[in-house]
Amino acid sequence: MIQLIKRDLLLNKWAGLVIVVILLPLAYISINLPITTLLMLVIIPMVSSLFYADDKSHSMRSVIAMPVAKAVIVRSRYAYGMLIVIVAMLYQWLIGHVIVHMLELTGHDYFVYDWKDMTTIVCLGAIVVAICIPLYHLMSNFYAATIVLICIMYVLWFTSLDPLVTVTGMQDHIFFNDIDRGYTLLVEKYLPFPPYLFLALGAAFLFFLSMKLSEYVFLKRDH
Amino acid sequence: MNAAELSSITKHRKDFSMENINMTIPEGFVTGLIGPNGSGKTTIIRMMLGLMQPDHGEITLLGTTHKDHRVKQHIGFVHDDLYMYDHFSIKQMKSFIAPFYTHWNEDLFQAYLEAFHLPYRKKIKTFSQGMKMKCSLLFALAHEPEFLIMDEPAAGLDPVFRRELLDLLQEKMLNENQTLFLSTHQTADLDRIADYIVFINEGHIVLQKSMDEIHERFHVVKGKPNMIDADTKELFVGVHVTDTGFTGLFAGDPAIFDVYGSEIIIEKATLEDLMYFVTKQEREASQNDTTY
Repeated sequence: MIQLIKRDLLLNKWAGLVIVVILLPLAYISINLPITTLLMLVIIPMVSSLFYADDKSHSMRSVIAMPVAKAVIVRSRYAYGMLIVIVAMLYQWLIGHVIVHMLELTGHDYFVYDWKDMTTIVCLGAIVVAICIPLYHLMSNFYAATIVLICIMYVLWFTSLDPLVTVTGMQDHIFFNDIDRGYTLLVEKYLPFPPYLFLALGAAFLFFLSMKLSEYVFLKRDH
Repeated sequence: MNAAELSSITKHRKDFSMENINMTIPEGFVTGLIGPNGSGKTTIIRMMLGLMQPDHGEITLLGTTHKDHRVKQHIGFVHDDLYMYDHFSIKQMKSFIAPFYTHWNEDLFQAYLEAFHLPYRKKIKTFSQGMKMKCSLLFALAHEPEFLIMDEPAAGLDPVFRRELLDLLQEKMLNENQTLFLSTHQTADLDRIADYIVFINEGHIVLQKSMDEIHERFHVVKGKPNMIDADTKELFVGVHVTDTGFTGLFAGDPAIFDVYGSEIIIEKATLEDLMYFVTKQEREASQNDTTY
């Protein structure tokens, strides 16, 4: 498993460095972009690019021929997806604290994660990964899978916009930079007690279901 | 003991079917898999490596089901191309692949790296076809496999390295009692090193014999065109007739042609002769089936 995660890190080395390490804080600091949305937008291309690399090189033929269980090959990508979510989120949290500390006198109102936001983000990340990965296993054409994924993500984002705007109290305007604060409010508003445990269980269930589906497809498919 | 056994393997794909394949690969020998393009050689190898699932049947490798990934600790593979991320270097490939194998031999890896003249830090996308094949071989050999499976290993190799490769494989067979299973179009290579031959055509096994049996049983018979008619044609597995003469593949004791004396030339059949005549004959038979 660790070897396969290491391979994904190698494959994402430059994308990871440029997108996560440089662009993520830059977008946050310079134009105060919504960081949770930004984080989700980072995960998708990073995971997709791995499937693109697999597709282009047919490297799965070599990986499967090695002494590693097929289920582990599938699970490693889920683990890698969650690793990006957690590392990028902690990095954003750290940058947020540094920025707030450095600019506390300027009056800027930067959104910094607390434990509720972090729980929500990990769960959202798990759901995004759970949607993203099986698509690439189910559809043999990388480009078709990517188009379907973009459509699904757009529909999810668009349908969540109205509740987010409502819950954050934006009545006659939409201020996109502040919309991320609404995710935890939405969780607390719509999920029964205890909301974060309920959210975590739901996300874990979806994640597990998605992983089992991917494993099944991967095992049955010819490579 | 057999290094691999395929029992009643059936595989149906959109444009290709394989029915009831039964095949054994004896341990400690070189077995060659021959057949024309699209006959099912790569499909068999991919099923053995777990890349494709047979619809029916069982595959055992080194006495264990091929579904058990642990058996691959003892198997080295060389695909028909280097299926690896093209911006990886050999160094990166090694850091990814080596930890999977408990018997990884770093000294052997370094020795082959040097022997094959491969650059350690250069991206594989800059490699020639021959370098890619050498790279595949490097990783296949470095964990000292008991059983080496190769799909068209000579593809893209220059004649010098091809010869060196065959010598290397032969040397390993003698010294380390490894089992080698390889598919190839270069039947001349197999004439040199193979102990057993499996001949596959259009998804079914045509022949499965030792090289000794093949040499003993199959002969190419050449003679004048007027010597061949409908009855004598029946004696041959396949015949090619031109204005100047006929060439036929004969299976059996060639002593029956002794009566013709010097009018007939009899030679031991090469694998290429065998493949050519059998494939041609099967193709003609299937065309006739379609006609009638």
